[in-house]
Amino acid sequence: MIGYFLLALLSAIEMRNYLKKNAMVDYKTILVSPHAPGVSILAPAFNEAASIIENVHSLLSLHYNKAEVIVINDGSTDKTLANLIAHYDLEAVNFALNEQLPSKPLRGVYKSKNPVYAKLTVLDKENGGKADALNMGINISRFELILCIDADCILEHDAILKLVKPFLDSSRPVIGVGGVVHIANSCEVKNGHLVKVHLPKTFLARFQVIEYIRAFLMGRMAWSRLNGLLIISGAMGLFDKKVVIGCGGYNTQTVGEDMELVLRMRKYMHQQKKPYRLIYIPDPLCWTECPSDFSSLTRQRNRWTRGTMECLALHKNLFFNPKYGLLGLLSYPYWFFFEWLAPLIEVLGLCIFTYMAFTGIINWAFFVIIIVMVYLYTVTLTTLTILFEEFSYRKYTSGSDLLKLLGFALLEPLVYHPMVLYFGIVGNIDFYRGKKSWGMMVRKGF
Amino acid sequence: MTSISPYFTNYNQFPELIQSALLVVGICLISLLFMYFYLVLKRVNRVIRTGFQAKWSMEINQLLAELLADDDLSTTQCVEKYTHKFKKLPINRKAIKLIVEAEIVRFHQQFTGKTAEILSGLYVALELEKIAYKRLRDSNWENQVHGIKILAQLNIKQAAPKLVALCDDEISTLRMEAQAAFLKLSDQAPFRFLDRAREHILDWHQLVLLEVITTAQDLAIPSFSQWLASKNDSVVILCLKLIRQYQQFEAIPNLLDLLDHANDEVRLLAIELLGQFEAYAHESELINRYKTANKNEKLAILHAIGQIESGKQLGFLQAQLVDDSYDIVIKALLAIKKHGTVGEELVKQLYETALPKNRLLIDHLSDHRLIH
Repeated sequence: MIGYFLLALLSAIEMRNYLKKNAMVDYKTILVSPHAPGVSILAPAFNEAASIIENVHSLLSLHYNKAEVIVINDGSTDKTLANLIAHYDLEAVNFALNEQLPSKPLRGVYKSKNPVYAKLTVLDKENGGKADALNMGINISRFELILCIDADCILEHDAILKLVKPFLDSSRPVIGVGGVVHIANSCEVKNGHLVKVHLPKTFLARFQVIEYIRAFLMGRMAWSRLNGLLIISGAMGLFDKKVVIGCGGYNTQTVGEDMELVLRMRKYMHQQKKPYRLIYIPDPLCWTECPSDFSSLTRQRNRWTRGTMECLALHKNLFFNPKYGLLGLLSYPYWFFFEWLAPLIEVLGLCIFTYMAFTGIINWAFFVIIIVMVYLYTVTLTTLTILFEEFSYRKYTSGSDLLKLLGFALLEPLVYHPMVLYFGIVGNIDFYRGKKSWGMMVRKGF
Repeated sequence: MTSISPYFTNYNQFPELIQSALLVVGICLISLLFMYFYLVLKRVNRVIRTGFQAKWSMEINQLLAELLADDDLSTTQCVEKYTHKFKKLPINRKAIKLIVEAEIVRFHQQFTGKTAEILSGLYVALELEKIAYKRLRDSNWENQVHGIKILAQLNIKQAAPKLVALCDDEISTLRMEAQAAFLKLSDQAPFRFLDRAREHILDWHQLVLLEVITTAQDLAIPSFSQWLASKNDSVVILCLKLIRQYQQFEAIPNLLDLLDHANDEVRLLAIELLGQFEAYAHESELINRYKTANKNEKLAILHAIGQIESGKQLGFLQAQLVDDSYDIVIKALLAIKKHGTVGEELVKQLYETALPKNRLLIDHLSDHRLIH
């Protein structure tokens, strides 16, 4: 409880500092400056024929001068590549590949005949998964910063400007920056751009809105303050390409490739004895569709649990290892106990409680006090993060949306938390069974 | 109420753990109620404020639009006329005064020339600069920054002396904003901060300063080579960027000294500039350094030789094509290609004799869409 309180406190400090520092920043300075760093946007796509044109259009219209958009067709079996070729007037070019990171074979590189799309490069490669596609994208990219995104995410127009600024504005070298990911279900989207924000219509998605706000505005902001981040969301993260290549790029053998990359980048910097920073900014820059049915959510969370466990297992030498400073002594153990072990401990606690209840050794009056305390503490923390959101970006402008959010914060510990517990347990079982699949999500559109 | 009363009456008899839990329950309940109340209050307050602001903004906008259309008057006459009109508004009320200030600043951002001058004049005539000066004395640095930004935007030259102390402030954002504003507003020694800078000037600050310097009107541009011996590496880097911006060729001898600088970025910039300035006479010095240079310097040297385009180093460039590094080979080929028709001819010859790997590189380079 003290830990969560401290996280909330650190998060509040970090957000306040960020908002103070950037309240009057004119991002046009980065936009127009020839000295701004270049950014390669890497968007892997697999069987996204239906939406790829709109998604690429949205990426090409992001506000940033020195940028290129690299779409990596990861061996799609549908018309993803054909649609891109037809719409953007693409033709194959002779590209001399500099293979700095291993990846499945490249079939071709395409550029548009139309100079309007000069920023666009499309790669066609054999299917190897998201991590493999990103590695190929990095090989092709020409700029010093790489923005790794999910092609189906919607980015705010000024997302790159805001993500680039911490790279320029830190006394210690920054190796990665992430921004807040929000839920786009039920939001109004036009031509690949978010027009109006609404709270999702389905109950499951609404719970996830609360979960995301809490995770980003409380958890990650606090860890950013401590420079102890272990993950930058795979949906959107801007990285220093040299460090990504230096540490070996994305690991294709895990389903938690986003977390694994951050862990390896951090280890790499420690081994190089170089100071560094990983930063999260509270700006809501990326909007994604979350699972709105139970089976899709189960598959997604199952993958997240397995990804976390794979990363923790791959880097077990960090556990309380003073050689890695805060990473070894605080960040890793926190994830070990609070992200991996927590559901197991909770289930164990429930088993012990059931046994004690049957054997009649429970003081029910005290039990009620403890349960009410845990419930109210959880609701208080969640409400606090809703307050953070209201104070900072206030994306949910309608009063009824705010009331619904507060209502769902009251329901969440009773309805949604048991589901999260279930996902955690099933994910653990599947990890030990050796399950490796990604698990498809049924996209229903915004 | 009776069901929870035992928790209060028997509080002292409970074990310590339960007492603490009850305490947490109490704190959480109070916090929740407070947060709910606060959220409601904030929303209600916002609705009222937005309505108030919309009403007055519209009225002020109308006056400002009238001012824009009134182009028959001289600047002084226009300022006088509209000062009188604005004073009819209840601008002694702080909230309205702030809306007037915000609207004048907003309009000013969109205009230059006479209109911008009139708006600045109106701002001073309405004594709104007093709000900005008050902000400069505020204990919150973000309010100070706000004040500085407005003074700089409205080009209030009289404010320059008040910014001197802030140019050396320990808070980096405040220091940068003060330096940027001082550059814009001061007629005397606007670049004095380059002499005094002890702290590292962050890349972001350099970007802001470069933008202010390159867009400021009537700013006397000094020879930036005078700061190339600064002990502050970030000052040297900023000045190198400015030397490039203003094409100060007289800095070439100083650039040669910087080739031995301890800072990697300084050395790279110096090499880049020698190339950009086509320092023909110093090409051999770059070649002499090549062997002992690190990879980034090698790339910069190859690029510079391509830019100098003397034609004397084609053999040297050709020799680099056997390097194991993709980047080096690409840069060397590009440098050869940059040598006009001689370079193009040489690339053609190389293509005939090249290994398949290097042929692909040449093909790659012949597509202008892939060259960078």
